[in-house]
Amino acid sequence: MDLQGDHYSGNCCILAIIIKALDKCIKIEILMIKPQRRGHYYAWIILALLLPAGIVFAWLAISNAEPVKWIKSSNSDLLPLIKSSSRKKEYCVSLRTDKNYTQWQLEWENITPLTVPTAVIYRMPSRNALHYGRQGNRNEGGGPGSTKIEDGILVGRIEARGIYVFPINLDYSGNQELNLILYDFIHQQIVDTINLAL
Amino acid sequence: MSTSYVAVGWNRQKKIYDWLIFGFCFVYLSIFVLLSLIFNGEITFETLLIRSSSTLAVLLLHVILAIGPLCRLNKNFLPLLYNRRHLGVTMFSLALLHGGFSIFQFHSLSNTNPFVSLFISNTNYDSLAAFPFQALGFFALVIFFLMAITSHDFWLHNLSPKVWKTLHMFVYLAYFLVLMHVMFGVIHYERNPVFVIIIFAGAVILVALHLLAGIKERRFDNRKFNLIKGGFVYVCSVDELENSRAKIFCLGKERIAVFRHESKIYAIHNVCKHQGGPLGEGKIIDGCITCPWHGYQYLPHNGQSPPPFKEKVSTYDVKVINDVVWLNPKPYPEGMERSGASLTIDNHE
Amino acid sequence: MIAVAIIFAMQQKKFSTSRFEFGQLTEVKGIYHQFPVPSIKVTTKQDFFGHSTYITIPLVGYGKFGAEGTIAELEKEKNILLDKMEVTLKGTLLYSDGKTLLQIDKNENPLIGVNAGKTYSPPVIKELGILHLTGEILDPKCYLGVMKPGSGKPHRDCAIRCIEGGMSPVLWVRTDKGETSYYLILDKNGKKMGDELKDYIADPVAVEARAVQYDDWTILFLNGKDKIRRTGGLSWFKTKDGDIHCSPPPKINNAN
Repeated sequence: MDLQGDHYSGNCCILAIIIKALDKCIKIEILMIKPQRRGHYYAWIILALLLPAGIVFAWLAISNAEPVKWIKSSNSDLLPLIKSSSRKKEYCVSLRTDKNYTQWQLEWENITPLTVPTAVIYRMPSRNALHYGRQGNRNEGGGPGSTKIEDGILVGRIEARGIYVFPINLDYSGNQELNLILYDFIHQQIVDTINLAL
Repeated sequence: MSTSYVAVGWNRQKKIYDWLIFGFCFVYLSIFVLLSLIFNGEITFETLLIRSSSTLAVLLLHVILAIGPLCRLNKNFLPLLYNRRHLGVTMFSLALLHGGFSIFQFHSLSNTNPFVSLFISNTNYDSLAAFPFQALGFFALVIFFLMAITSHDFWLHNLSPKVWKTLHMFVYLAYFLVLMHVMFGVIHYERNPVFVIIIFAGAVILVALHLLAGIKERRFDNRKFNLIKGGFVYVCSVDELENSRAKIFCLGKERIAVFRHESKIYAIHNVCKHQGGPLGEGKIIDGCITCPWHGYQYLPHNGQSPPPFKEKVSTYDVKVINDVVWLNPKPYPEGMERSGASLTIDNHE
Repeated sequence: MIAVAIIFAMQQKKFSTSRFEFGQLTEVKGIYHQFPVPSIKVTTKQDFFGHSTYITIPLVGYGKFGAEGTIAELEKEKNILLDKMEVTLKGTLLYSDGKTLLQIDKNENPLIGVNAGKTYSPPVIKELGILHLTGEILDPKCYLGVMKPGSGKPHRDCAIRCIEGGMSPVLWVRTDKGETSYYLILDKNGKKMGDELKDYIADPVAVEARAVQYDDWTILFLNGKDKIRRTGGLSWFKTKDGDIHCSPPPKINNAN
């Protein structure tokens, strides 16, 4: 049984018609090996030219951003003295003050992207003090060492990577440490606690 | 060799070959996945799937394209050639996994049909920086698909060898499209020169192998045979022919295999009817010339496959005069019996 | 060849730490705003001294769609306009780098409740003038949670599909100090931009636009395609991430 003959017999077979037509069009004769080898050879000469050119042009075409002049931002000036700081892989927290210890700032540098939907800093009642530091108001504030958010004082919210500076009221004379909580209010979870010694 | 087709004619070599392919793929994917999870813990399952399948597919493509010239340059690589189509189908399967999942990941669940979105989302065909690299990968995948579904011998016969071979030569275009897909796609994001060096090295190795093999073959083809007498060409001396083995000569357009078998010299067309394998690089087993690629057989005196098989190749006249072999390059019709040239003294002129 | 696997695996760029809470629904309660983008403003409980803060969470739809369609269906179903109302929504959170989105899917019955009686406080709006910024335009849903990578050339087609599907494009800006900021992009009339930005998505671009701060998001009102241009030229040397320079974003103090 000659498969090719059977396959081509009955020209109503569309596939057979297409193959017959293709067969006529194609000049490469599989049995004439020398021309076919020449075809492979020339194909690889063309590839030898096109491939390096393509690779080089693709590499050159990778977009490169132009540097733009950096304009200094208008953030509030940082107080000069760092009283205490805490450094972790994700952020660096510093407590800054002036030389008279009258003004205080909390500097929060977000180093890595947040992995929580929200991150709010709360200041919690110090474990060693009875009040938050508003002078003369000893009866304000929650119990010492409380971690309930309702007892905390909002400091601020952090977002993208960068440096955040929050003013903070602090009675230096009475407090031994500053207790902070990083809180995610969407999931209602404490993300981290930071204690800064004064 | 058989007129009835089976999906895969399993034999021991095929099983070993396929197990080796599976083992290699398993080891590669395991290493890639493990190291990605260790050193890049934020990677998602989708990205891992896309990248592991694509890198392995590109690697296999390089191996597949290297097999042909390697076999030409060194016969020790021939076992890799026998079931190369299995490698090809494996490579296509991985490419399909990569392409299919990528189309789903990046184009589905949107306001447009994913296959339409593939071509209309990014239309910056006039920009190198923003070139729609996904279209390049798509067309390469189409070529691989057509090659994979026609990889069985059934299609080799039913598409006609010319159409089949032409279709499968599109693998060169597909290779170019794949490299450009990578260079204009993920490399534009990763920007790591290490990746570019690896891709470049792979391309250089393949180009070098193919050109070296091509140059070697062209030198063989262009060898001149100047001594001609009465239509016969002097090719070699009898001593140069090993028993049950052949030497190949390229006279004009044709390569002819001259075999020595049982004190006679025979000459047949060098090209196997199956997939164009070099019959002259094979040997005579049980009285049959056996193709080294896939074992197709032909009788030396008439160029026909032993019954019940139907393949036939052309035969040629050959004479032995004073221990020198003379060959007439004019072919007889396929399957025509020729007596061959005896090596006994009575036939020497 | 095993060496190739090792090199490919280890040399990949690090992926972001974005999160998509796939399969996990979260309820959020806040004021729904239609403008500038469909979003919900969630306020914290008051602290000891009665202070609170908030976050504005833009809404996105399922798949590569914005949330307008889902909101419109909910409004039609409940026969109520939700703009400026306190609502409780249930959806899937996605977040990264301080920005959060909420995916709402109509098949998950996202509207839990509406409180029409809640007093509405308008957003804090501040004109920032004309800003010149360099960054990358991307779709916030993929970048902030769903895909890794959610930026750059491989993701370009998906970003185009998302933005054309109704998601608000975002300009992602990184300074040389490693600071990042995100700007929502609208046209000069406050309408969503889609097709006009198609050619600029996922490429480094320079943008000149009027910037207005709406609570904790900054909106860029882009006055046409001529105010965007692709930056950079051909170069053998490719800079690493973080070397894109621009004028730094204004810091937003949102404690009140």
